Amino acid sequence: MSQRPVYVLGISAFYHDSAAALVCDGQVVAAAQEERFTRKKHDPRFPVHAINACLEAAEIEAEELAGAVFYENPLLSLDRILRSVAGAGEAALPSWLEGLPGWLRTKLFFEELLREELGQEIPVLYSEHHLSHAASAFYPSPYDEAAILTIDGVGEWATTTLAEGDADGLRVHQEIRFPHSLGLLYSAFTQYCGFRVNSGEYKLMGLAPYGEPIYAERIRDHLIDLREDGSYELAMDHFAFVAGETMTNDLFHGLFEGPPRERESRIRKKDADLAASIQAVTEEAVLCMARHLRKHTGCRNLVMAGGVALNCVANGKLLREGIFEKLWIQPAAGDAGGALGAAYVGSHVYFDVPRVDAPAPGRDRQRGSYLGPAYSNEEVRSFLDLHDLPYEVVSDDERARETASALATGQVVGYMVGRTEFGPRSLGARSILGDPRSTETQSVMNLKIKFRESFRPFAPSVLLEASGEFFDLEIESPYMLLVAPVKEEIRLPVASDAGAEDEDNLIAQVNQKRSSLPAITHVDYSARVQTVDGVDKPDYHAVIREFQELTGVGCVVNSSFNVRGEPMVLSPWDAYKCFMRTDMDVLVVENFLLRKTEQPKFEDHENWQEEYELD
Amino acid sequence: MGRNLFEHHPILGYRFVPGLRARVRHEGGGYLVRCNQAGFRCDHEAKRERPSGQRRLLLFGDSFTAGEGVSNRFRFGDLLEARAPDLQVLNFGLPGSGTDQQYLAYREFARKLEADALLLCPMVENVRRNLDTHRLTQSATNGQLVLRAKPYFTLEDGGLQLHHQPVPKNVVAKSEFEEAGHVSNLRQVETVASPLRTRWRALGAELDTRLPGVRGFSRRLRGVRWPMDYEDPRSPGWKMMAAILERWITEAQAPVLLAPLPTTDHVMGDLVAEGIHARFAELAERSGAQFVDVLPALRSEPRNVLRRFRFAKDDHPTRLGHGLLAAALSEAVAEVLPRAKRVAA
Repeated sequence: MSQRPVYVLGISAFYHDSAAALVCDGQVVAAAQEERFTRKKHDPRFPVHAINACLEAAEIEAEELAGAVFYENPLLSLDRILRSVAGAGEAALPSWLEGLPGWLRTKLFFEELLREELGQEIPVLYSEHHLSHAASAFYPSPYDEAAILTIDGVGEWATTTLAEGDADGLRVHQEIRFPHSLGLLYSAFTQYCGFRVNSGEYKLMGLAPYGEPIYAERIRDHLIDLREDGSYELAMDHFAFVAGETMTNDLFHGLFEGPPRERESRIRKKDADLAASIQAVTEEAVLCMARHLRKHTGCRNLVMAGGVALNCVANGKLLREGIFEKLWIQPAAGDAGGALGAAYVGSHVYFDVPRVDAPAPGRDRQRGSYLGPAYSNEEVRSFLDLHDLPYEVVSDDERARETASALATGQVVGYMVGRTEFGPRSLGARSILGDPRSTETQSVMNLKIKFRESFRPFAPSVLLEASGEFFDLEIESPYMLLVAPVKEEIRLPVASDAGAEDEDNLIAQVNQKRSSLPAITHVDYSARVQTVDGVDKPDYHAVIREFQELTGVGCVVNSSFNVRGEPMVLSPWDAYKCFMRTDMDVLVVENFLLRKTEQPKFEDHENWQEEYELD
Repeated sequence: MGRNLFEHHPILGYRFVPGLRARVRHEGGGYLVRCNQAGFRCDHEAKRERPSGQRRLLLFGDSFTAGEGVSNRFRFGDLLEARAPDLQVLNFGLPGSGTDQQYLAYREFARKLEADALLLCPMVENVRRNLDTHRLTQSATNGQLVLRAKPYFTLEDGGLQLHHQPVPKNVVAKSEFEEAGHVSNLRQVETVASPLRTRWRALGAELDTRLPGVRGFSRRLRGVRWPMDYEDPRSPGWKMMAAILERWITEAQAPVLLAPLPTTDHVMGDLVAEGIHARFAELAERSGAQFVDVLPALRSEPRNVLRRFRFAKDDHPTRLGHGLLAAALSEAVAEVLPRAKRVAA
């Protein structure tokens, strides 16, 4: 007798990056972030569209769900909030009074919201924030057993968790609790350097190589007591995040000799030095925790999740240190991934579903993280035809050839093929592609397409089989979560006086050609690598392989398909709008190819540069 | 924005995106939409030959038939199919359509298909849609309501004259539309969406909650009839609908069941349906179709069951409503199909 499949829905919401994920019999079926549908970056609202997308992908009715799991425990969070308010005193009251009613209306009424959305009474379970992260790191990983490290801002109480996973499930060994938080320490510097918390951390990491870690000692002496086993405590008198929205206080500002940088003002050498310093301290902390975890668990494999696990520079260092033999990081390491973890917790812990076998030895169970919605050729054609947009229909082979050919002649291509990525990185399903050999690619893509800060580097997508030609990277990096050094052989010498006359002039440094792949070589000769194989993403692999045929270089520039502040495009209409609003030359949507020169005048009724709040 | 369910079609005005797989959020909890390559919400491909050993019913109508609010397998067409193991139902339901577009769907997509019977299910409200030249629809790109052309017929010298072929794609500006004197559901939509109407509906809903059945009772006492087009056989709405249906029934290559679908208010007995019954019965009589009146079977259900015939806000039938419709239709369908086999033999 066949048993009914056990479908478990995981949901994360109400903080930032709401998402839903669906696991069937222990295998992820779908996962999506709400922001992609609502077009509001980091949308924290109850993820009605993402839930819909998950059920749509599985083609199931809501009543077929065995249960739904919320990624954290709202009562524990409330406990932390109330205690924090009590501890912080009167100063904290106004901001909490403002935020608390909304919080209570949503988190505590999760079941009601879900019932309203699905029109069904289904069993509702609650996980814990870091347990969800741990599950999202372990269950989809390739390993039968692994040590688990989760680090982020804060969950209910935990901010850092050291755990272990194997056939018997997940066991949390140690945790560090709020307010001591490595994630919030990094966010404090993010805000101090003029970037937005919960989205600007990535920029701070990108800025770090332009600076020197001259403040690292000061951070260790005054802000964090970091111990050999990786445990730590923050000097809370320098921070304001317990009392409200601001991360830092006057004591912090005094320590670094000045107020925070104004947002969108010119980035100074000091900001780069601060970035380099907090990056160094973060890496040190992560390495200490990893060493301790290895010793404590004896595991050879490490898996990671939580927002700090998106720090691919630290991840790269961790890999090269060789503390663990193998490393796997959940690509949706932030709160969105908590939805996936929650679904796994429900599936394996509550419903006792056995873990599925990995698709092949060494391969993970994340399906390349291509877990979001896709659009059929018919849907694309109907959109293009309705608006009489000129296009060419191309076969899969022609698509690869035409895309590669456009890239090889220096054109920038918007590429939208297949299911969208789950997680913050574009992995070739919703990507803007460029020629990595061109010195102009970085500035053109940053300033005329992405409309973002010019210092920000671009990442390479490289054929897995060609990765060793360009990067010192021993393992696969399918999720763009590892930074690796560019090979010595392709590096170029840089004029030693570049930017010397004005140390705040980052542009001068950016414009230095550092390798034969200048568009993806960061200022410190590193690159945030995505290796591409022909299994999870054959269409993208074919594009890069064709590019290799044409140029001898099996590598392209890959940036997320959006403009600054915009969530990654999801639908053909999103892609077309972004294509027409920017200097992209070619748009590929499934088996349709559009050239900018052939498109009719685009009448943009929206003031789009104000449509997206700058991140 | 959700997925776009429809695409432009030069004959019908629009159809479902062929091959679409989608889930639509809805007050009932959401529903799954699965379409065939012909662009209709049907699990079967519309192949010319009927499957070996099976009888085939071609089903036409609007969103009631297409099943807005419920997944494919819970619609009355699919439930009819589930009741008879050797029956294939091809669903050509087109949401928002008039009888004109439903007839064009038959001509364009179904006329050449092998079939044992046609089941025409015009929703009684469709009588007004046949007079519209444009319809207010939701934009695929920004979700705004926009006016788009639809195909429509006029009666000229007693014959039907088809217009808007091919159906223009462009969106019509409201000002341009009003100047040209086109007919559409614009005023109807605007009236429905007006603050006063919204408030009125809210009050009505409140009354239904506090004093269930009072409004219906009041209507029954007053003998309210609606739509009024059915009260006079010479009304423009009915004349147009009758002309289209007569032509359709004449052209059909198989027996036709004519089963107008009532609104919930008709089902509950809150609105008088005598005019509707009379018009469709007369039409069936003169055209050779078989009139199927689903109201007696539906009204035989207890009122507390009938209250769940439709969704709380959305007028469309719930799963239960579709189940009741299938039960009400099943006898007539069962009767006509063996006869069809004999005819075919």
